[in-house]
Amino acid sequence: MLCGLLVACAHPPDSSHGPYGLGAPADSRAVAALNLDVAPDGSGLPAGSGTPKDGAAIFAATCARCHGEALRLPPTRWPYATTLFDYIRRAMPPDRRAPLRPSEVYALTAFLLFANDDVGRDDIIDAGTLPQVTMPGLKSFELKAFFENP
Amino acid sequence: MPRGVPTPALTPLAKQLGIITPSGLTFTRVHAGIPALDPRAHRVIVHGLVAKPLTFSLADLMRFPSVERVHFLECSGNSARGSEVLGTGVQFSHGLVSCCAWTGVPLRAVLEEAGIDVRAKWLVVEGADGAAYDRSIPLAAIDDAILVYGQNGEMLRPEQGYPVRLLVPGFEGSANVKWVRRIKLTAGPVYSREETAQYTQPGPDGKIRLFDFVMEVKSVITAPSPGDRLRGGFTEGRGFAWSGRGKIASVEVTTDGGTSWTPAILDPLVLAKSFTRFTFPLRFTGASLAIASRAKDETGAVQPTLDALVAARGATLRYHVNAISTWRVAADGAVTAA
Repeated sequence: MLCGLLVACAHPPDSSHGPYGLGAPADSRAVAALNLDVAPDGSGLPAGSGTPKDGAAIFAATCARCHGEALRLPPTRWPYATTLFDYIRRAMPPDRRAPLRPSEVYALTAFLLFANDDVGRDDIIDAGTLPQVTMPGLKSFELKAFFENP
Repeated sequence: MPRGVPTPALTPLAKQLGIITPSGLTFTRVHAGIPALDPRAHRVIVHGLVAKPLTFSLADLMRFPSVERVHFLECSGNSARGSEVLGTGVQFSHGLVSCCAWTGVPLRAVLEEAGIDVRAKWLVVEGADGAAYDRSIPLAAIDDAILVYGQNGEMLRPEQGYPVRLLVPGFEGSANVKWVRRIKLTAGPVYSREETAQYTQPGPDGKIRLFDFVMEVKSVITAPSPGDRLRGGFTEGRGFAWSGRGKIASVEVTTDGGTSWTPAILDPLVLAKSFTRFTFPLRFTGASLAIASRAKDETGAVQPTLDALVAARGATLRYHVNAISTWRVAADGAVTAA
């Protein structure tokens, strides 16, 4: 009780702030700059687009020095195509000497999907089409949370 | 393993005398380097399904009411099938586990500061390493989770996530994101690469199990262990037991390869989701032995044989291996893995 009173006295009431009044409001631009998550429904995908052909050239220039000529994904291990975009954007290339623009990430995603027979050679991959790509891996996964049911 | 990424540093478990792993001997596994973060500039952003997005400095986090808890942390690849090629001894077969005293702020307190929306069911936790490593954690599982800034009485070390890391006690090591910079509350998981293409494995029906977080009950005899040579007469058998589901209830040991089991002595310091130290008297007469330990946790779960585990979880089982390990003592006292 005493503790609660002290906290209440130390910090004027703020209906949208927790009991300790710690931290600062997050600047929306700072959040947007870090908010890289792309969910399977496509939320988080930026503007831009790319094709497998565009991606082949970027892959040769930027990725092949580590990954070789082409990259075969383990076909059962990628349930959602959105994860490819998410991971390429957040992690590649490791040295970041030339960060990829959104359309380059779309193009690389398209190239990998084409190399794995998931899209056609001339398909345009963007925020509208990427979530529509059905991955063969989806049926390999059991969409069940094992933390609840060991 | 990508070029430039150091191989894991393994805890020398056979040399560990008590339940606490020294900070410098804590196993280390990283995915995209160890970032050098300025503790004055680093921020943790909490956003998504919250009433008010907030940003916290390390100093802010250290002002919250704090806790210190002793918990093990185990990589899902500890004792992975095939790991015997890495080297001889408990460090190689079981060295991807440590147990430390962790100091920090309960995660829920930080989230409640921003106000948890009723629609939030998961959090996506992201690190500031080279790959912005991220994992989805169920909100229902964070009751004892900590945003950690201290380890064994000192600040976290860089390779352990300085200035702040996540600890969800009992969860596989890779879910405990290091160098935390962002926590987003969400309605569902994000299905990041590290929780789909990585850190998953097929179950017995061939279906790939997602979000297989909990490290189950396990134990290992650290003395005597492979590489040792027993001398005749009395020696004290020693080891550690742990469970991601709670406290250790008992440990049994065998010296005849599992024909007969007798209770080991548990040290009184039995904590939930922590190492528990056990001992047992052993007399070596020159007759060969097959020694092993078998732990049971407070939920009643018993450490299985490898055959039973493979039968339950599929022939391709590689990760989350908590099977009984047997050490053979030859007539000359030489100890080897069975």
